[in-house]
Amino acid sequence: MKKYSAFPYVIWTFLFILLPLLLIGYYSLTVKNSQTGELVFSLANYVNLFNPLYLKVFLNSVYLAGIATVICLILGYPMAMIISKMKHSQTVLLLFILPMWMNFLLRTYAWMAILGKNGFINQLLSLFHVQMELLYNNNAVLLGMVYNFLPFMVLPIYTVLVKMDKSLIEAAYDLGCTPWRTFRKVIFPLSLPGVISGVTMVFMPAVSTFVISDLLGGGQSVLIGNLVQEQFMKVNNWSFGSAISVILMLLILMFMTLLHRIDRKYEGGTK
Amino acid sequence: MKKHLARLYTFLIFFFLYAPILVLIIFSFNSSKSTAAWSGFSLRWYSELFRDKSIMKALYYTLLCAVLSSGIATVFGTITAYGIHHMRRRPQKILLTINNIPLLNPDIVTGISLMALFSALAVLRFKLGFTTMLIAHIAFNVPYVILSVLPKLSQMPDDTINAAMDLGATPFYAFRKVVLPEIKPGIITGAIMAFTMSIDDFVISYFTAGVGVTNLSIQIYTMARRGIKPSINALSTLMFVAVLILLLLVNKYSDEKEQLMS
Amino acid sequence: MSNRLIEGIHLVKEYDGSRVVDNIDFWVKSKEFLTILGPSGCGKTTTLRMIGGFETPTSGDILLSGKSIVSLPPYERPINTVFQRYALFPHMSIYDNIAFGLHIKKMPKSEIDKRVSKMLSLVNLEGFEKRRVNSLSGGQQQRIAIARALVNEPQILLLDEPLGALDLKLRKEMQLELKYMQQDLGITFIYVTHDQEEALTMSDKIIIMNKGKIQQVGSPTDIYNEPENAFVADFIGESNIVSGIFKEDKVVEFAGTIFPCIDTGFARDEAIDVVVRPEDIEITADVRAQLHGVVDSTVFKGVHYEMIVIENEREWLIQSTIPHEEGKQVGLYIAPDLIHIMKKEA
Repeated sequence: MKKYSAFPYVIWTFLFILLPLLLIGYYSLTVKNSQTGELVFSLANYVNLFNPLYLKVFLNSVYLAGIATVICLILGYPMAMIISKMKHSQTVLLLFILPMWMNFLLRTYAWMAILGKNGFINQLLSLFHVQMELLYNNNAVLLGMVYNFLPFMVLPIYTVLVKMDKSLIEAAYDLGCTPWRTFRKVIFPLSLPGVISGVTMVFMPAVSTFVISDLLGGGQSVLIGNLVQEQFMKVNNWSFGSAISVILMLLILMFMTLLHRIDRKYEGGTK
Repeated sequence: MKKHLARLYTFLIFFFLYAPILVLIIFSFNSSKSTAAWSGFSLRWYSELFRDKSIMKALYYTLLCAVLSSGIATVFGTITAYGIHHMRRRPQKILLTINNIPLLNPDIVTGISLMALFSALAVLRFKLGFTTMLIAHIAFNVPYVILSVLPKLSQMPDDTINAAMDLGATPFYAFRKVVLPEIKPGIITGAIMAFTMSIDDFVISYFTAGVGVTNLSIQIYTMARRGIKPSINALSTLMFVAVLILLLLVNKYSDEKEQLMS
Repeated sequence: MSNRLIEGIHLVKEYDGSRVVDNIDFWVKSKEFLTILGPSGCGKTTTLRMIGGFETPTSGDILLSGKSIVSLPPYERPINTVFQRYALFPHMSIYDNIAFGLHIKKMPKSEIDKRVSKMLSLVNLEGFEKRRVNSLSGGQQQRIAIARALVNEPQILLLDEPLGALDLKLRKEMQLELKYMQQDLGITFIYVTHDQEEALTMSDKIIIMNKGKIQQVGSPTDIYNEPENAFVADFIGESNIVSGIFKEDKVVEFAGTIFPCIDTGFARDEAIDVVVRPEDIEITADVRAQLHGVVDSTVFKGVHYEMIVIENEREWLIQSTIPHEEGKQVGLYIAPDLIHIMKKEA
């Protein structure tokens, strides 16, 4: 029983994890012959990606996801720290992630209701005879990202901070460190694994989203995710869509390797 | 001073997190369709909710898919985790790496790749629909179950199973009577995770469900730009309250258990 | 042959090509207390696990009352085990833990109740039925583990360093209790430990293992008094081991001096190892002194003093009830029957 009970899953992973990705890889390297409808080998999809139009989309995605990650880190780290020091930190944490049980799309939609032309904020502003275009731009997308993914930053940092050996901090004080120095030299380096997983968990969904940009960005803010969705659901050019997905996967792989390096470097430095 | 600053900060962040939800909840009781202008209290949307066939159908598919996929994934994942735990190191590492792919891959890539697979299998009369959505949900749920059960298995001393067999238990009896109760917390965590992931999923369902089938997320997505019926707000409010009550109960139950244990 | 309850024949166990147990043969009589003694990694636990059925031998056979049991899974062997870390089932009460094996045998409830309470009184934990495993101390968990195994009335009880996690005082108590239980119940015990004192106190027979091989088999007194090689001598108590030359029967040379001894049967001028126990060296000022040296250190050890005497850059470990001050010139004397001569290890 022990020996064979993982066997069905081996087949399953091949069928539903590896095979689909291989298919995407295959599609990305082919184009449809317009007369016969046959798939022929070609690098055209990848060449096509160098079109400045698409490069701009890639840059915009990385830029927005990067900014969103930084904002989440700046807002989330102090939050995690404050919660970790609270008396009922478990309950507060639960309240913190509670909004995530509301449907993701609905939460995003709620921002449309708040920021929209006849939305909440503009209704308030109209009392002063001001109207502002808050929706359908990069800032709205950014807000949606930060709003949706902030808990992903706070959670891992909180976990690391709560488990941290308090005697290390006391030792730093004992050795004459100021609170700020203690934070810089002891607390922050030790919490780095949490920061890194937080950064990963925010950046990845942010760089690949199409829902947030679709709803809050309108047509104004196009991200990688929107490109992929368009190719598969509207334009019906799966080959090109696959190529974009492959690049997206590579982008994330590169990002993860980079983070892993930083993590390792820091570990080496503190030993 | 520092303490007040921390309080203010906490309040602002929580306000940011809860503001949209409060808006949704408040306007689910609005008598008009607007989500910005208050025109009086009413339960209109709650009664319309239960008469709205498309929402009810989406809710049905969402719940059915969540129950089935989390149930199947829990059983499948637990049995698999038991096997993985006893594997030799190298194949174990390989399988765990593959198992991590759905967690690390963006949802959109998982979604389109499964969609591509199901279309390629269309020759086998595999049409996009509820079944393909269910398979997709199982595929992204199993890794979570495995990852929450595995640590519990490693925490269990190796000799626990041996001790049961030493006392005359067959391997199956030992699994049922000794292993299962030991890893139960991991299984429950995995099942809850799978269930919530499934209920909340949009991206993967969107690509794998096909035209005929919609779950709540897909329903909301298609309605979003035309303006969402406040009935959805009403439904979300109900679901949110249900989760809240469930969490409170679980919290209370675990508190009581802790007190009993100490 | 007939009185051999369990027997290992040419047992070999390999993991990824390295031999953990290297072709060992042993047997145990019924109602015997056998201890397998050796340093960590010597293959003693692997041997025990092969008897219990948790490891399959790479080659060789295990016979129980003359019948091979190697192909039987653990749950079909009339053998029970007390595990190193007890391996009690934490989600069950003490009662359920002890009754586990009896439930499987489908014994009626009243009979199970009777046996469980009998076992609990045997291990001095009457009334513990409803307690949880986590609420017990290490020593108590240990007793429950023993009760859980013994309640099944196994032909053989295997114990894998069961006292390793207990503190010294408790360990001493449990050693006596275990020995008493074994004699009282008349069950064969196979006990694995790295603690030589434990082995000497409890066993009828000791097997000493090192690097997968059996070094010596014998009663505690045999092994203590007549170690067959330097490893055994060193492992069983502290010893002074020096190389020497066997001159002729009953004469040996070491430390540049000729000594009378009582050993015979080595070749003339054969290089050998000489073992002398620290308590067997006498410090003397009189003419009997065979070696001369300077006391380097004296430490009080409770029952005796432990001294190191340096003689020609050799260190001699000596235990005596009479202290000698550091720096003092002393003479050393070793009686002929206290010099143990052993073959040099290859």
